[in-house]
Amino acid sequence: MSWAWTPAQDGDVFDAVYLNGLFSTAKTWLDDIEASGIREGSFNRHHCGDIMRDAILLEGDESATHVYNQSVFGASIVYSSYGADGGTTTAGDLGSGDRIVVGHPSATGGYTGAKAEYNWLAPGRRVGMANGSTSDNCNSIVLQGNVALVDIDPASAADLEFMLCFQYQNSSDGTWRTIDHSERFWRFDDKIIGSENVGLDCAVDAVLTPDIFDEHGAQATDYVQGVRMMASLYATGTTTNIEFTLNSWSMLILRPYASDL
Amino acid sequence: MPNITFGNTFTDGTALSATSLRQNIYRTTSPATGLSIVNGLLDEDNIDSSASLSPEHTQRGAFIDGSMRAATLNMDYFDEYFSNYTDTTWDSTNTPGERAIPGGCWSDWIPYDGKAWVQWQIMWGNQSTDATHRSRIYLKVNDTYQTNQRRAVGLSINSNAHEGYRRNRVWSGSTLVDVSEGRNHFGLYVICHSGINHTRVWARNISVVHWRETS
Repeated sequence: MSWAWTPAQDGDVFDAVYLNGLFSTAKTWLDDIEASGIREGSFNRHHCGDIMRDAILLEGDESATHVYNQSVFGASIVYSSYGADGGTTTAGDLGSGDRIVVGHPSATGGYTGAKAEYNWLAPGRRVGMANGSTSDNCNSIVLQGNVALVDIDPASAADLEFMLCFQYQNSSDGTWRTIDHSERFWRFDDKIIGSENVGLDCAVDAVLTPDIFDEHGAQATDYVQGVRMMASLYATGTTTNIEFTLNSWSMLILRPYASDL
Repeated sequence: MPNITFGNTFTDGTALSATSLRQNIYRTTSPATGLSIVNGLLDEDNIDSSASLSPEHTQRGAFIDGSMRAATLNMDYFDEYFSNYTDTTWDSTNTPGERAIPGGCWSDWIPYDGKAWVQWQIMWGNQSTDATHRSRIYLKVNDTYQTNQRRAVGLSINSNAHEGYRRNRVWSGSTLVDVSEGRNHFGLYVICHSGINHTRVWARNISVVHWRETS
C-alpha cells in the first residue's frame, strides 16, 4: 500500500525515540515500495528492460536461383497428407517427407548459403506464461517469411500449388512438427503459367503459441529447439519431375518476453 | 542505490543539531544518503520484492512502439524520370534517378538504440514488352540499399496493357533492422528501365515497429 503518514500531534513527546521513529518509518516504506505506491505511467524506456528475448533475421540472397526438384521431393504434396510434419534439413533428401527447408535446395541449385532454419542452444527455449520469469521464457514465437517464387514445373500440369509453412522442433522427442494453420498454398494452372516464369512473392506468418506447443509437448517442461520455414509443390496427377525455383527469401523470428509475475 | 542509510541516529540528552537533522533529510554527498535518494536515485532495490508492476505503470512506448504510412492513389512513373536508366541487372551502387514512393516510406525519430521490424506491401506493374526491361522496387534503410529486399516486374509479354498476372506484382515483405537513436528512414524506391514508357504503383504501405535493446 501507499505510505500512510502519521503526523505529529500536539501533546506527543518529541524525544529521540520519536524522531528516530519518523526516519525509520520513512526508511521502511522507501526500502520496499509496493506497486500501489507507484503512480501509473511512472516508468519510461530508461526504466524498462527489453521486450524481445530474441529478434532474429535469416536471409537468402538472390546471387543465384535455388532449385528444388523432384529428385529430392520424394512425392508431390497431396491433400491426403495435409498437415504432415515431413521434411529434413539434409540437402537433397526429404526422406519420407513432402516438403523441404527453404534455402536448402537440391544439388541442382548448387546453393550452400543460409537456410531458413534457426536452432537455439540446448536445451532450447520455453513458450508460455506458465513458466514464470525464467530467463528462457517467452510469451510466444512470432514467425514471418517471404520468398520470391521464380518458377515451377511442370507448367503443363492441370493444377499446381506451391506451399509454404513453418515448423518447430520439440525437445521432448526431437521431432519437427508443422504449425498446421501456417500452411499457405498458391494455386496456378497451366493456362496462366505457360512457358513464362512465375515471378511471385509468397508471404507467410504464424505465431507459435503455448496452446499449439502443448498439442505435442508440455510447455512447463519441454523446449522449442528450433524453427524453420518449409516449402513444397503439389501437382495434380504428377509425382515425378516436379520442381520449383526460389530466389530471395527472408525469415523473421521474434520472441516477446513473458512472465506470470 | 540500495536501501536507505541514515547518517545520524539521535539520542536523548544530546543536543539536536540542525546539521545532523538536515543530513538525514537531504545530503549532497556522493553517494547520496538519507532521504536524498528520492531525487532520482531510487532503483530496483527500493521496490518490494513482491510488487507486481503492470503495464499501466509504464509510459506509452516504453517497451515497444510503431506506426504505419500508406497510400492508395495511383503513382505513375514515366521513362523520363529515370535518367535513361538502362541497367538490366541489379546494381547496388548505381541506381540513378531512383524515386522514393509516397506512402511507401517511413521516416521518424526513434528514441533509443534497438531494432525495427519493417513490413510493407506494394503493388505495381508496367507495360514492358522486353524481358530485360523491368520496373524495380527495393527497400533502402537510412539510404543504404538492401541487397535481399528487391523485386522486379517486366516479363516478355506481347501486349502493351497493364492488365495481366505476369506484368503485375504484389510484394509483402518484411525485415529486421538495427537502428540507432535518432531519425531513421525506411523507404520503398522505384527505378525503371528507360525502355518502359510507363510504370504504375498501386496501393502500398510500410509499417515500422521498433523497440529498445539494452544489450
